[in-house]
Amino acid sequence: MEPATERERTVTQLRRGALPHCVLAVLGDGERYGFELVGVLTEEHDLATSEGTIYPLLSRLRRDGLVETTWRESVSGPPRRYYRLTPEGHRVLDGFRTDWRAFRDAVDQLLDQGGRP
Amino acid sequence: MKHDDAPQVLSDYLDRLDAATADLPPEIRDDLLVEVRGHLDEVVGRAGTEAEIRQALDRLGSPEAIAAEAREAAPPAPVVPTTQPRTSRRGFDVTALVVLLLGPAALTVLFGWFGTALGWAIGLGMLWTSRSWTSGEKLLGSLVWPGGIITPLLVFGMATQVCTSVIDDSGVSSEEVCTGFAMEPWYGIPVSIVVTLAPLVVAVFLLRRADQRR
Repeated sequence: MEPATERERTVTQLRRGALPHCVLAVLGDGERYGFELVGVLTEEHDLATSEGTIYPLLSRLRRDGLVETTWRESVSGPPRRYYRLTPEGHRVLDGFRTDWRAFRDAVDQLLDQGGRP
Repeated sequence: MKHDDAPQVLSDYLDRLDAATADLPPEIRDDLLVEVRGHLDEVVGRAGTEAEIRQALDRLGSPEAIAAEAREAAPPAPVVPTTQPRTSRRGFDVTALVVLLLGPAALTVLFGWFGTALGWAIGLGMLWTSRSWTSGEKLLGSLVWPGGIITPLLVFGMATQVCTSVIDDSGVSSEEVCTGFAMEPWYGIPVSIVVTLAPLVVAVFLLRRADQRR
């Protein structure tokens, strides 16, 4: 694997910071099973390069009490583990929505004006 | 499913994952292996060719990268878990199955039919609140058989035909009273064995499923 460029490293850092909350955001719309959730984040939104690295994150979110899981039968194969937000998870998501928008607006402003008033 | 047994590329991947995660805390490692195995089940279900499986494995990422991520996400020091700890969940699951099997019988001795219903109700409550089983599996545990081992025992109790002669005061046998019904041995014995073993088999099956998933 070639060494990441400085730019790639920056993007990776940004993604890592936001990824847990992006997981919460996807689950905010309803429960998903692991494979499905991982696919949405990588395929549709390009938020992670490696699908497998999301599973440890899901595990940590569960340990932190932000998501919970249920096993459900599936018609097409073995039972699946479904993830959904806990009430605490919803609270954290709502908080992040506010914090992110403030941060995003602040950065956008600086990028547009370069710090000039 | 198009693949009856896992292609070599998948077993190799899982072997590498086992090795890469060997140093992780057991609870985190087991959880990760369950997730990745589930992911690979989905991959195999959707992929038609080995090339597609390899592509999916590339998207999944190297086992070493996943293990590295798990190491970072793992708590650095022992933390009070917010979810039920693994060992107490197993204890809960085992207790649920034991109560389902033996609870009604044990409580009947103390409380009669009320005890039977109470034992089954407690077992059912524990079964359905556990997070280790799907609804289908919980339904199986609920239906085979309600009452656990007491149900086969009752059925056999009724299946024994007991006839007694009623003797009146003057010592003369006046009539025969028979209770229960008779089962012919040719079907009675196999039925007895199946009916008695069924709840035990279901309990063992459910325990193994839960152990795989926890």
